[in-house]
Amino acid sequence: MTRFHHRLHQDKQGRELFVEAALEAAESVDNGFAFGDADALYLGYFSSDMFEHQGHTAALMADWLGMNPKPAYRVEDACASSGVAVNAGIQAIASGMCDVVIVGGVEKMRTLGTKEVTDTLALAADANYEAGVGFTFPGLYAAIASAHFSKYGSTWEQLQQIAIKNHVNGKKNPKAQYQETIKEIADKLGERKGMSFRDEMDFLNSSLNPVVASPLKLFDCCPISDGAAAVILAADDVAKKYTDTPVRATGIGQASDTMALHDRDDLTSLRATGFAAGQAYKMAEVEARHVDVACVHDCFTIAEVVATEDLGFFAKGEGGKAASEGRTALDGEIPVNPDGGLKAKGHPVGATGAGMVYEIFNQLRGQAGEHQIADAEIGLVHNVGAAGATATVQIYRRG
Amino acid sequence: MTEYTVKAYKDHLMNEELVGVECKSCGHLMLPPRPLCNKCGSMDLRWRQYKGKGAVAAKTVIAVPLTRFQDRCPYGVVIVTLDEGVSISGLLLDENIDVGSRVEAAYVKEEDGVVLAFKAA
Repeated sequence: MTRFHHRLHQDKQGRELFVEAALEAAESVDNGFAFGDADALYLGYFSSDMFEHQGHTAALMADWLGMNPKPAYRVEDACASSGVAVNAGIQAIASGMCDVVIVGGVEKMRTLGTKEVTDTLALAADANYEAGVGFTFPGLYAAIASAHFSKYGSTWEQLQQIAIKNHVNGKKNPKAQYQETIKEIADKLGERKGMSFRDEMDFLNSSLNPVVASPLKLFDCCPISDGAAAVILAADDVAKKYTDTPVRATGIGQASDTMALHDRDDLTSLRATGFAAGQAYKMAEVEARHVDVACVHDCFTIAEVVATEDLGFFAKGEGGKAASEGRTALDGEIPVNPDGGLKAKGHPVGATGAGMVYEIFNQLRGQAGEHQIADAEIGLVHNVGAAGATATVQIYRRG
Repeated sequence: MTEYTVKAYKDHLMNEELVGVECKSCGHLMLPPRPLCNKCGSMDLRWRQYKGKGAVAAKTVIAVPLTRFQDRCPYGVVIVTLDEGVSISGLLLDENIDVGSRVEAAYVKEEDGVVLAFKAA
């Protein structure tokens, strides 16, 4: 994958980012790999149309990789686009139609300013009944937070522990957009503004952390990012040709839910996550307690709380408390988002699901560097589209 | 073709009516209208008008707005569970409203149509 970043890629288009990610994937194959080896490409790209005035991006990327005449499929499922692309690629291999598939995603977002990005992301909500009455994308998760606070007594202070943890992790990840702790950011911004902060919470409570959609503030939200990620999938018998240490996809799940958040009986849970996880756990013959490391969809701090509950790591209502007790930290019982998550690693929408697979691949091969979880054997990837109308889960195992 | 369209919903909003459909087969209530029942799949539906009164299930005040709403910024948005049991999103017109507060529908007329809103009941 490319580094996810808000400035670094300003002279590149989406096509160059995706080629860069795919080249790294190909070069990492132990026994060598040529793009022509692949039978198909599945590409997640949420809104190339708005961000780059470019449609038909799967064919474009296949062309740029020199894959013609292999078929290429674009997947658009909002922020779950490449999670779905990965599932589609796994299904293509499981069906017997393909032996080798390239899956991945890209989003080139920084062509637009924050206002236009806000409008573009809101396309993933119901245009008539949510965006049409003023809901932004952060607004939907803010609504979830308000319901979670009200039902379970969880707090904004608990959410901050997730942002703090994910920045601590992001600092250890050379691919992350923000490789700084929140304390370091506080000190840097404070110096510039003539302010000083005792600790992270002092900063997070300050005017330098403005409200985006109450109760969520700036540091509750993932950033706007450019980036791409690519993964090479191969059938079991074919994979041996490429490597002696593959990572196996042992279970996948995917589910849909009502487009509008307001149509859900329980606003504190993403049902699609629960359904997808149930399928994936069953196929992989594991339970939540067996997972050694997880990348979950933390587009907002509250989203990580809800995800860790819906995936079965913690009881409903306990996710915030668990995070604030350090149970999801690198040295916790279930490390969540060791790569910094969407919060610190960045969230180029269409690339996120594949970027999570990149992280879990490295974790299960013991090559995640400073943020390696010791002896990780079973990894989970969880990718969500918008406010949970789509969710995917995959379980991976050291091969 | 179905009569239960987005356009029909918006036309009713212009008349300050909040309408959805009721499934004649299973009794499921839906708001806004849909062409088929999302519970049992039946297309045997009838119009159903809602009173627009209910309780706030979720609330946010948006500080980074959609372009279309930027002149209102900051503005509240709520998810309201109506007394009939269905829920819907709307713009919030009053302050001092929180999860659990009683609200009622209001209809904000704009150049290009009507925005469903809620105010304190």
